[in-house]
Amino acid sequence: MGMIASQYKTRLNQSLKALSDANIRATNYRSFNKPSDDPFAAARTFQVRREAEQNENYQSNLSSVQSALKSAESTVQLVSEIVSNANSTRICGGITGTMTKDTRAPIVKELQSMRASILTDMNAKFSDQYLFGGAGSGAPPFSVDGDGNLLYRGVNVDTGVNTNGASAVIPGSSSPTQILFGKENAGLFNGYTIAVQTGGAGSVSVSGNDITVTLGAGHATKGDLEEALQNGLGAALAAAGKPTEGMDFSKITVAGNAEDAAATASAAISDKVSLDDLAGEGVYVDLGFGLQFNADGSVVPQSAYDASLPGIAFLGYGMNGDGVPNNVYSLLGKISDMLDSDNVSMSTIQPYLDSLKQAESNLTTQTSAIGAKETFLDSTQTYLEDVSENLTAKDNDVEYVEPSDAIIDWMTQQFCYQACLQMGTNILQPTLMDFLK
Amino acid sequence: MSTTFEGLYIAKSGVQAARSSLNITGQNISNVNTAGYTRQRVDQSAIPPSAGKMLYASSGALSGEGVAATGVSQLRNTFLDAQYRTQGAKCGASSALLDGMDSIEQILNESTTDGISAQLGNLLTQLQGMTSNGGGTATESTVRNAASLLTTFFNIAAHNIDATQQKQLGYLQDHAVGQANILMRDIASLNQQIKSANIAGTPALELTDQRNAMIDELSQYMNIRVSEVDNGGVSVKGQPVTDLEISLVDGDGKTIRSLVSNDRYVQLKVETLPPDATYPYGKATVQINKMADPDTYTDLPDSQFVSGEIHGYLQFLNESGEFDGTATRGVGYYKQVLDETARKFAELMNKANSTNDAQDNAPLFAASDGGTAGITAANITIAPGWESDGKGYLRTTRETGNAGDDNSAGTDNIEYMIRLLEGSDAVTIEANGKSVFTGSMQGAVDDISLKLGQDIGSLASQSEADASTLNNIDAGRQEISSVDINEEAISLIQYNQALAASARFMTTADEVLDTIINNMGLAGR
Repeated sequence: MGMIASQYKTRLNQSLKALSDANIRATNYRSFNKPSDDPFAAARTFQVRREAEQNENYQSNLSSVQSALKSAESTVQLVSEIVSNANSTRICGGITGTMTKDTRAPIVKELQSMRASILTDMNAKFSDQYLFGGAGSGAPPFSVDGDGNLLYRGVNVDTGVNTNGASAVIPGSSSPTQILFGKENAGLFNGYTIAVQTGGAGSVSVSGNDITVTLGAGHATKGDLEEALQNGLGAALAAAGKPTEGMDFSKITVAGNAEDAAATASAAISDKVSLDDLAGEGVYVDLGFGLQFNADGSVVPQSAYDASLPGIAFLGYGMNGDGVPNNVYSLLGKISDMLDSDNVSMSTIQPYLDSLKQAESNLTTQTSAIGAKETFLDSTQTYLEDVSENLTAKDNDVEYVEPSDAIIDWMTQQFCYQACLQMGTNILQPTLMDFLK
Repeated sequence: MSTTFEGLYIAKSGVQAARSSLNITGQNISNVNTAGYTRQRVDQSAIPPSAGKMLYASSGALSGEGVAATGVSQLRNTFLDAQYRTQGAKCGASSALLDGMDSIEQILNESTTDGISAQLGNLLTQLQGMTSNGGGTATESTVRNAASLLTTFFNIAAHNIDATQQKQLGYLQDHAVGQANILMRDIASLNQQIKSANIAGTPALELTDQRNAMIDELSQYMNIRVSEVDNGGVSVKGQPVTDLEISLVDGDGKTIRSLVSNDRYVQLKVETLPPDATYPYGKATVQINKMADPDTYTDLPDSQFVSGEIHGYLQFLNESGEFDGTATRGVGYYKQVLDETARKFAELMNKANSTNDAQDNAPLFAASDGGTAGITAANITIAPGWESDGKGYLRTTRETGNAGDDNSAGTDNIEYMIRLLEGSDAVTIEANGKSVFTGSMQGAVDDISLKLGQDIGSLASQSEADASTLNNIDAGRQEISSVDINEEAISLIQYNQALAASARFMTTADEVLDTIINNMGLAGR
């Protein structure tokens, strides 16, 4: 009797528990509420969730890049129009050798206002960042120096000279040591090479065009290098009979944390910057192409999307063999200066007009390149949306149960529970006592 | 030759036997719902004729001298009892371990709530956002906020796991060991009472039932064996009065320690050892005293508890799976793997952000003392350098900029950090030099709760099977020893009839005597 009653109680409780579980599943339709309910479904679900989040990130990156690109496209078109206007017969196309100064004056004015427009346009911002600054940040990418030359991030776009002064980049194993000589020492250190080594007592020596800095053992940090240069270079140069006129040694600095170790190698001091490098600078955005890195830590170009639009690639840079600049701003400036002077000769002005036509066709090429990028981004967007749909479907598959299954299961459990309750009256039987007098 | 009043004596014995049987039946019926009650039965035996001591052989039909109720016994199967206790110990072990692991799962469960893994995903989202918007302060500070929240989640998880450990330790001390101590003491005192009763001849069956219930409960906590030992004491009615001994046994059934020996008992205590090389988070040890010397406690190695709740708790508290080569992934495993994950995460991010050869001059994450050594999940926090610097502490590019140029809108280093966190081969979590997990950072965090889920899943089904077996054994026991109303009802009828018949016989014997005494030899009166 006691045995039957306690067994019945156990079974009834089990049935009630199963009913309660089925109830939970029928209300939230989840196939598991904690990983131990179904470890394999949980593993697949977490995986799918990660992939879905990644995909969302790519999609949001894509839409930022698309908007920036659209904005860049309209700006480039504006500049392109200005340049083709400049090349039209009304202005540069109509320059002849016989124009008088009075007929040239309105052209000069027009060219100068075009220059100002181009400068403003190329410094356009989108969502707090300069569109054409490449990897530059902070100040507007294009500026004009005291002589009216165009500077891109401090670098003269025609000559490649960095107006912020010369520097030497000494290669190092994890990060190079950069020695900056400052604006104040512009041009004074060109042609020298600097070598850094450690060992012995600290010293600075110069022989020919080679500067050698020896850092004492235990004093080989960047801060020590800076100190050695500031205090010892002047004397070393004087001792080697080199001119020190106008050099301000206190402006020599070493970039980076003063406590870091200084690299030991040698490098040339130069104030020239490679304009090709500047024009080809990449700012990479991960759109799900399988981001890869080279051994030196740089991004493999095909594995991410390059969202940078360095301004000098659009406007042109450098000079050709005859000293004629490729850059639109400089060209317009030079042409308007020549027109403004008393004597104009077609033979001197013609190379500049030709270069201006070249710059116009460069801009057209760049515009269509932007168009190609937009098409590419559109098709990537379609792809990412597809992936997103697939992942949502997959997540539904593993994380959730079919509502119909859950409800049927719950009703079955209910039925079982009812049956169990009804059995109770039959199991807990009357005994013999009920039949005895 | 029979005596004059022999018939009356025979009838009297019949009536008395029937009456005591009826009383025992009544006792059974009134205890039908008493937990742990074993049904009783009167042992009757016929009294033989007392003719054995005569000098000369007798002739004629001699009758026995009635019935004697020799005693009351219980219907109980000691083999099933032993099986029940062994199985009960197994159930206790798996349920104690399961309880601890469930508590940890609640902390790490991210099926329906956001935790460490979700926050890591958020950090990645912020980093990705930085690549497409530029390196302005606005987005670097959202990255820092996301990172700070991530460290908070790590801290909370570690703190909660600590709390779980303390809670389970409390259960071991107060519940398992405390209860076991009380039971051992009570069993010892019952032993004394039962032995005295047995010597006095009264079997004390109700006390025996009480003691059995206590032993059943004790078997949940430890792997015990119960034996009745004849210590050469008193014998009653030819049977020796035995002492009850309870011993702690190992997996092969070999006795390790004696827990209760008649009225003497031991006590257990729980000590926590401070952290050392083998047990970096401390160790819980059970200590035992001596029956003869109750004030001195010595350590019992964990291996001597092979089953029972105490074993389950010790497994949970002291075993760390792959980290110390044991079979169970207890709380130590989850603490250490969480710490390793946090440490690895901080190491990767700090390296990515630093510029020197030693790769530690611009750490993003540090321990609470500001240094980068000994980072654990409990003390990981944003490095002081990153907290105080407004902008530009997060290194966005590895390219050396031109003199005077700020090239921090480059994104290659951020992409590098993203790759570190997402890349499917970036992280290896190691225990004792062996790899526990290889994959992405988020995968490492997910893996912790997935491994736990698998462990719990298999432990839960084992526990269910154990409980089901225990239930079956108990059903078998109860079948034998619980009161069956039907049987008692039949007994009532049976003994009632027997009583009526004996009473009838007494009347008959009386009439016989009456005939003999009053009506015989009246001829010629």
